[in-house]
Amino acid sequence: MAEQSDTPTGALRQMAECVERGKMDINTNIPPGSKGQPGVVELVSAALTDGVSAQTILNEGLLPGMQSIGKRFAANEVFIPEVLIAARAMKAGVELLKPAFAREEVSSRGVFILGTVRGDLHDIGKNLVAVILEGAGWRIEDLGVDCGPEKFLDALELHPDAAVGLSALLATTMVNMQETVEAIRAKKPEAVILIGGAPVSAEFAEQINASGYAADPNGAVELLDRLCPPAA
Amino acid sequence: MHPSVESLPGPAPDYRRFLDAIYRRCPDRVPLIELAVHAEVVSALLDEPAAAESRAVTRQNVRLLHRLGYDAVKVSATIPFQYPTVTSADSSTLSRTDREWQDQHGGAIDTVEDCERYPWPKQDDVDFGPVEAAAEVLPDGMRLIGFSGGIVEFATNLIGLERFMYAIYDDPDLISVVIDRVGRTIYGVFEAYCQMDAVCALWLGDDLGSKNGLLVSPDLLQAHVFPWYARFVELAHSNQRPFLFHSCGKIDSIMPALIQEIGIDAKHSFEDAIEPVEHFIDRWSSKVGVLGGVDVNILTMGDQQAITARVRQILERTAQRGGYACGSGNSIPNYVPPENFLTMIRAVSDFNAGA
Repeated sequence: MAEQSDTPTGALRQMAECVERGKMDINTNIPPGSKGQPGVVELVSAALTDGVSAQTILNEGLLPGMQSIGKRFAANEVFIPEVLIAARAMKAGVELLKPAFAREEVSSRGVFILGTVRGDLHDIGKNLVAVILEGAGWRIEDLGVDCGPEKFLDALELHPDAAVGLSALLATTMVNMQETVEAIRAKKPEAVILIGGAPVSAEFAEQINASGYAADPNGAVELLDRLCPPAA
Repeated sequence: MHPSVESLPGPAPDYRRFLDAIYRRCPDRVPLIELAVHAEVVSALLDEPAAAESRAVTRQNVRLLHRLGYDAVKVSATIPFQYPTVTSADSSTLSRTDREWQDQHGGAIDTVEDCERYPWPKQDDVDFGPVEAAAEVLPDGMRLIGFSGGIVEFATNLIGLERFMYAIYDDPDLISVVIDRVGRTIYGVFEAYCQMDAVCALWLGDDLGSKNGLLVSPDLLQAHVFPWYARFVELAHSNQRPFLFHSCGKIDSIMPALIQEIGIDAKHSFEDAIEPVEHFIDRWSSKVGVLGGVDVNILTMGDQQAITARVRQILERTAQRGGYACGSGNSIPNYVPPENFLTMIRAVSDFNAGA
C-alpha cells in the first residue's frame, strides 16, 4: 500500500520542535507561557487522525527532534535536564503510535542491548544513551543496572543480531566490563560491543577487546553508523 | 606502621607551605593534598585495624597523613541530611562490604511542601566531633581544611538526581527552596569552621560536571548556585581563609565565573580523560592554585613506574611556577592499592629531595 503522500510537513516540523523543547502536551509549560498550546501528544494525535502513517510521524516528526537534542547535547549547548524532558516528550508521542505500530510494518536500525555492568547501579548516562539511540532509530533492549555477563548473553540469545552497549561509572566497576566482553566474544566473536562511561576510554576499549568507545550518546550513534551501517 | 611508610623521610609539617601553594607562591617543597583517603587504605598503611567511630577514624587519618608528609588535612563535619541510598556488592580491591550509593531516581523531597516538612538540620545537629578530634591530635605545624559537600550535590541527593533534573522545568520553585535551605546549612558549617584556629582553609566539594560537560546549564548555576558560592568565598576571605573548590567533570566553561566573579582560590579534581592537570595549569595557574591531578585510573591500575613517571611529569611542569599541591585527581578510594598511593607520595618526596 502506498504511503500517505499528503504529509502535513509543517505539523511534523512543529512536532520535532516540541520534542526538542520538551513540550510534551498541552499542559506542559515548557517553554514558560506555552501552557494551553498543543504539544507532542496533541500533534501526534492530530496527525494520526489526519491519516499520517506512524512510520512518517516517527521518522519525520519525533526522531528529528531527538536527533537534534542529541547533537546539541554533544556540543554542550544543552544539558541533562533538556535531554530528559525531550526524551519524555518523545516517549509520550511514541506511546500513541504503538497501536499503529502493531498494524504497520515499522523499520528500525536494529536492536541495541544496553546495560550497566555488574556492581554498578548508575544509569542516568546509560538512559541518555538509550533515548538518543532511540532517536536515531534503534530499538533498545535495556537490561537495567548491575548486569552480569549472563544477562547480556541471555539478551543476545533473543536478539542474535543485536549490538551491545556496556556502561560503567566507576574505575572499580569498569573492570567488570572485561568479563562481559570476554563472555560475549566466547559465544559470538563478531558481536559489536560498545563501551561508555566516565572512567573508560578508547584505549580501554581496545585493551578489553570491545569494538569501540563512545564518549557521549551522539558518539554512540556515529560509532554504530560506522560499525553497523544501515542496509542500502 | 607499614614498613614502606616508615621508610619515608620524617615529617616536618608547615601549613604555610600549603597556603603558599594555594596563593600561587613557590613553597620550599611541593606540598601534598588529598580530598579523602579511604579508611581501609589508612588502616593498611598504619598496619592496624580500621577504626569504626568517626572521631577515631579522623585521628587515624591525621596520624597517617602526618607521617606521609602532609601539611594540612581535610576534615569534615557531618551534616545529618537524610536521603535514600541504594547498595550493591562492592568489587573493590580491599572490599569486604557492600558499596552504598545515592539513589539517582528518588529522594526525600519531592515537592515544595515536602521541603517545608523536611527535618532540616539545625546548626546544633551538625556533628563537628571529627573536626574537634582532629584538632586535638594535630601535630605542631599542621592545620585542618574545613570541608563541606556542595549545593548541587546535597540538593540532588535530597530531591533525587533525576527528579532534580525534571524539576528544573516542571517545578522551578522546588529547586529554589531546596537550594536556599541547603545553602544556609552549608554557610552555618563554614561559619563554625572560621571560628576554629586549627582550620586554615575552607573547602567546598560540589560535582557540577560529567565527563563531557556541565550537568545543568550555566544559567541555572548563575541563578541559583553561584550566589551561594560567592557568599561562602566572602565568608572565607573576611576570616582570612582561602576558599578551595572541588568539582569533578568538565567544567571549563564556568571556570572564568568561578575564578574571576566568585573568587575561588584553588581548584581541585582533574581527570586525564577530561583535561590533564597540566593543561589547566597552563591556562589558569596565574589566577588560581591548582590541587591534585594524578589521575585515579593511573593510581588504580598503573604500575610503580607509570605512577612515578606521571607524578614527575606533573611536578616538572609546576616546579618553576609554584601554586601547586600534589595529590590524586580526586581521592584515594579503597580500590586504589595502598602501595600505589605510597608510590605517588614517594615520587613527590623524591622530587622534593632533588632525586
